[in-house]
Amino acid sequence: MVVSLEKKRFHLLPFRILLWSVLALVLASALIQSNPITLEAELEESDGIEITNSAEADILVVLDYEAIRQSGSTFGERDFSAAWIDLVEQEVGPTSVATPETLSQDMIDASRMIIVTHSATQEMPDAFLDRLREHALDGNTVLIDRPQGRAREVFSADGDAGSRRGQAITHAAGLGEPFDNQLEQMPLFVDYVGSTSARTDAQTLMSIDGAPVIYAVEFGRGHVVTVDFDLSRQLVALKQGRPAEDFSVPRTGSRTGEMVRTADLIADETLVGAEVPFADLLERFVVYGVIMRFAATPALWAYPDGADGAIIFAHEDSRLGDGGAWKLDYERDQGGTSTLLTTFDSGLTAEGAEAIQDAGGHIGLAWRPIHPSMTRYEPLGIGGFTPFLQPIELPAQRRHLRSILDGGAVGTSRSLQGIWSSEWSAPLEALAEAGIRSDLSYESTTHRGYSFGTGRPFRAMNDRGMPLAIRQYPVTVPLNADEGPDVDELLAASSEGHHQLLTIVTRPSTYADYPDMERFERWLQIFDHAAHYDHRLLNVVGYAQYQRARRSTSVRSRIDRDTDLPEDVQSDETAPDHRGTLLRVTARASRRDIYLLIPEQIGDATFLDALAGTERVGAEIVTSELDTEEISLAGFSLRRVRLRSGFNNLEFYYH
Amino acid sequence: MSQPSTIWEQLRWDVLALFVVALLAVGYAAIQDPRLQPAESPQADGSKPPDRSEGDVLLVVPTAPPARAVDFDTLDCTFSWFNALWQYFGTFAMAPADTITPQLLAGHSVVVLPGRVAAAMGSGERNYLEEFARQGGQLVIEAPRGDWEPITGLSTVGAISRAESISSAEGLDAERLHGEYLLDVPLSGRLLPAADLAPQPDGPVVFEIGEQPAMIVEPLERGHVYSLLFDFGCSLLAMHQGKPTRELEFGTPESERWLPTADRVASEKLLATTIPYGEVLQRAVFDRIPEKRPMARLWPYPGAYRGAAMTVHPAERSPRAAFGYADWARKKDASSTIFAAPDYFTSNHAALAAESGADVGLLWVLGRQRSPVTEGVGFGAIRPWKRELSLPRQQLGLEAALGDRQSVSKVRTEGALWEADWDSTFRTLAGAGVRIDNSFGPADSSQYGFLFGTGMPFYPLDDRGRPLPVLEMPFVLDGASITTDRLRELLDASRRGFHQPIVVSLSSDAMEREPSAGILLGFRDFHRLSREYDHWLTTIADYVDFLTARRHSIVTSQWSADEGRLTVSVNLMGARLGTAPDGAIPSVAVPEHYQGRGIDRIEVDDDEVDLEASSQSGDGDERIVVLPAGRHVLSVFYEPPPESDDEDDD
Repeated sequence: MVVSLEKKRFHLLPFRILLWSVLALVLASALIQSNPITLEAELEESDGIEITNSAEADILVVLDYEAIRQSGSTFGERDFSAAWIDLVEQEVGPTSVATPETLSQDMIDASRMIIVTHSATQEMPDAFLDRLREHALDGNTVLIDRPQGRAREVFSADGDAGSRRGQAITHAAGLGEPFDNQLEQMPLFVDYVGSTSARTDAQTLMSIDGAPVIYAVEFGRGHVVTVDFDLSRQLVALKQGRPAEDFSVPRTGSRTGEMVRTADLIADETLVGAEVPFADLLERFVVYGVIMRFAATPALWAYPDGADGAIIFAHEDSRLGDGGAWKLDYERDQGGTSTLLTTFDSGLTAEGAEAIQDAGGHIGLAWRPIHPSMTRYEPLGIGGFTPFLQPIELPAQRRHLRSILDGGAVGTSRSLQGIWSSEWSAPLEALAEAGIRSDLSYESTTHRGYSFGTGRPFRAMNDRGMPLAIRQYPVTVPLNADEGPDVDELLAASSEGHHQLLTIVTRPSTYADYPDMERFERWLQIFDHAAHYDHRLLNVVGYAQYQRARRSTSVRSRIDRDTDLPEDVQSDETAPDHRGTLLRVTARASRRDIYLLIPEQIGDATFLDALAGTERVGAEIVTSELDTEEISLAGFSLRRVRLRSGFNNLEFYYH
Repeated sequence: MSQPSTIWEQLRWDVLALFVVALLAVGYAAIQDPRLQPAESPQADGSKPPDRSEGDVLLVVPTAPPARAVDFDTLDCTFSWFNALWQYFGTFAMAPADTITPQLLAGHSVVVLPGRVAAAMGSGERNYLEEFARQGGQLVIEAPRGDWEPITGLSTVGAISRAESISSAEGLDAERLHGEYLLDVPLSGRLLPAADLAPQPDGPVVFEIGEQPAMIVEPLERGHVYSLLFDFGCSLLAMHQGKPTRELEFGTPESERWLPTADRVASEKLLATTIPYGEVLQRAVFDRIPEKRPMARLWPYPGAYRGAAMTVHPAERSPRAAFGYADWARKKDASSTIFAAPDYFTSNHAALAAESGADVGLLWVLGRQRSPVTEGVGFGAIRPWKRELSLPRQQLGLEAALGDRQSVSKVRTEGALWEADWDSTFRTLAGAGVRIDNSFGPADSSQYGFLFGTGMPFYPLDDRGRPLPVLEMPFVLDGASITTDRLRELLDASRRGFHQPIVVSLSSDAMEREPSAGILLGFRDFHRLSREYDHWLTTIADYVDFLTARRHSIVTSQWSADEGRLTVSVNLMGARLGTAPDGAIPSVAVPEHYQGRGIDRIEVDDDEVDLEASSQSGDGDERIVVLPAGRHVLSVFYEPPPESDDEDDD
């Protein structure tokens, strides 16, 4: 059969189109398969948490979360009153926290010290003001943060000179050498409230640029202390970092154009590699130089077994897998432990993780932040055809690590290499939302030291001023830091008064790349230094557990002035009338390694002796003498005594 | 003009285009994933070392080469004696059996007859040897049967059994370091029958195997005959080179072709031990000779060192970490050896190695635990095949990176793997001109110590029993098996009397594969401990150079029983080495006691040696006399025997 050419060509065209279309489709598919499209990743936001706590504690912090949320949207305007909670928890331990809604007369009556934060002073009802006044008149202490309106009229100087930019602290009452000089070196980032005339009855405790910013006024049998500078913002800026006014994180120095790191958050270049934990020094002045001076409230020692400080070893790993914890054996031999921060894809196996945990090690997540060089992707598509790459985000990374740990908790993290975000609190919010409770990402890239004003973990906040359910452990000895104070210098300073936690991060795989034996020897020496300077070797979870137990310990105290001294403590010094001051403390502790701190001095009376009510004989409690030891904390003289596990009834006599 | 008649004819250009596209795709795939051609390296056969006429000790070797062995029992172990004498005495003479004459024997104090030589010895030579012994010579005979009875005084007629282990060493002082461990020495080969005899000192038996005599020393007029009724050479060979599990193969028929060298060990107990059982066995035999006739040997270390300590760093991939270890060694005034893979080692690395004072050897890539070293094969840029590089080609690649025409003669195999037969890998190494191999050692963290009975290098034997011209130098610790405690134990045992070279292997990737603090702690302490335990910090190449100089030295001696005087003539050769810039010269060791009599004085070239200032061996059995290179005459005077004691026949 003969078919015309024209007709054939007409019929061939669909075949030809089909043939080349299929080929084009195959080639396009192969191309997209080998070069898949990468999807974007985002960090999850967190609204923060409203902390309220009716604890068995002497100190009550009052704050107003609604006022915090309503505060200005810039860093300079935002209300960080919630930082007061962290301040008291860090330095004292057990703390009650109330909002205007939860505050009750019982809570006020049960507290010997009430801290009214700036957020709670803004719309303070007269009735609350009167109750505070009466509370002070009854012999208690009230601390009020930058009061406004009638509260200022009643308690504080006039504040008529308005807000002024602070340059430096010029006076800190009772703070001895060298701590007074150190505090004066602290960079200030906040304003203070100036007054045209100081209250004549006020006792100045701290001055900025010569102006009183913390001062106390005697009220009946008690005192009211005014804090007239933005202490909470100063602490937040020092610890969590100082962003631009819009909460963006400026890239610093020569690293412009590179990825943002936590080092970019350091509040001031003078803080890089600081030998002094300025934030802690300021907090301790407030607690031991102000609160304890007037309220004589006891506190709990920050480290187990009364150690002078502690060291947390954390090891970041993304390639050794089970071998990432190779330092643990030696740490155990030295009576310590450590935290292995491992990426979800490091090669860690379930068996390896179990062995590490059985050996007392703790495992956390080294999370891969959103960055082209860090992020891992998983193919997304149908069957074998996967034209998309989906980033494995933080929650998925945590889930993966949890599955390796057989469902065990993953509550600790560290951003790989300290890589951060250009948004101040975004990574912390995402971590908190993902269920991370401790993070170790904050570090200087070059220096050892207290670049974030503290070595101890602090509660992070979001950019709305709300506390987050996560604590940040600033790294004191970062991975690659070879400048700044040496570890032994930091430990010596800690032992001599700053009493710090040193978080030391290492990367075990460093020795796989290049086994620098001198670096290894320096690591070994840390154990000798730690023993010499009485610092406990802990991991993150061990430290966090101790702090939780410390915060949940109930401590109540009462002061009886001009009371008869028991015969046991009478001496020639107390003659002829043998009367003095009694600080009575009741405490219930859940551990045996918690120590109680009491002031060496109450008013003009000096510590004399301590007794413990140990057993009841008939209707009487038989007491026994207690051993106390003197301790210096940031230059303040204190006394320390070990609490028994369970109920403690303690009497401290002063004369 | 014809017209296309079907669709396919119409689409022929489209189909052709598609075919070309497919061809290109296949070509692309072939280039992306080229086919691999396995390497073939040349192999060498073993050969008899050259004869040598000078030396106190004469090893008599077979005249004719043996047949190829089919299993371990048919293997000729004669040259295992070569290793034993080389390791223990340092230098000795060697001659074929058919060259034995009274004149030849007159220049020696000790003659050693391995089993195969003894079995084939003609009556003429046997008569010469009998006369040699009667004149005061010391005759060591392995597995003497039949015609040897008049000389040995032993009848070995009867069924031959297997030697497993030494059951009694009553003839030895069990409290001496070596005697203590003799019962644990794994033995291999035959055990000749013999009548029940009493142990020394009442009888002639030194030690027994399976309740029957295994070593017997009998006087023959002025000399002595030392009869070994078991396969000393084969026992030592099995410890050194491995004990095949079937025929001359290792592992099971299902095993991989390449196995860890640790799979060759003669006994499970050797997998974790600080006792060099090969050395224990050698000393059990050789230490008996000076008891009858004092003689000197060359100390296996320069000066009075109690041993040697070396580190090696195999780098299967990047050698970067190895430079970290080498740098630490440099800071501790020591050197190390890096075994580098040729495809990862560059001229920059060579410069770094020179900077850190490290010696460089070849990591022979086998393509088992990592990708093989290959070169592309094809036309121009299109190379769809890859050819695996043979050992000589890998050597050339590394030599090119090292420059300066440096030849690479030290080798570690990838993963310390070894072919599962008797000698293929050794033959390949010998075929490539490799001088030292350092692949025998532990394979995991539970294994450590002298897996091959010794830390001393030895010449491997091929399946004809001939030595191959390559030295196997075992390592004793590797990676995660390194701990400070094990290192201390090894060095302590070495100092106390075993006097061993301790080679510690720390792979470049050890802290990646099996990281542990113990590795770094052990390595950190290595140099300090080595010095603390009087060990010479050197490299494997320097140590072998020293042993070579030791082998080229000459020692002869004369013993005057009446005077109690041992006269030793030495010609000492030294080696100027990086780790011994003033020269590494072997010292001379002489027995500290002879039949309970201590050394009264020593004269060197007529000058008296200050005995207080000289050193002893770790077990106190030998006095070490340190001498400069060259010819010297030592006169060792032993205290006269107590008058009440009987004079020795000697």
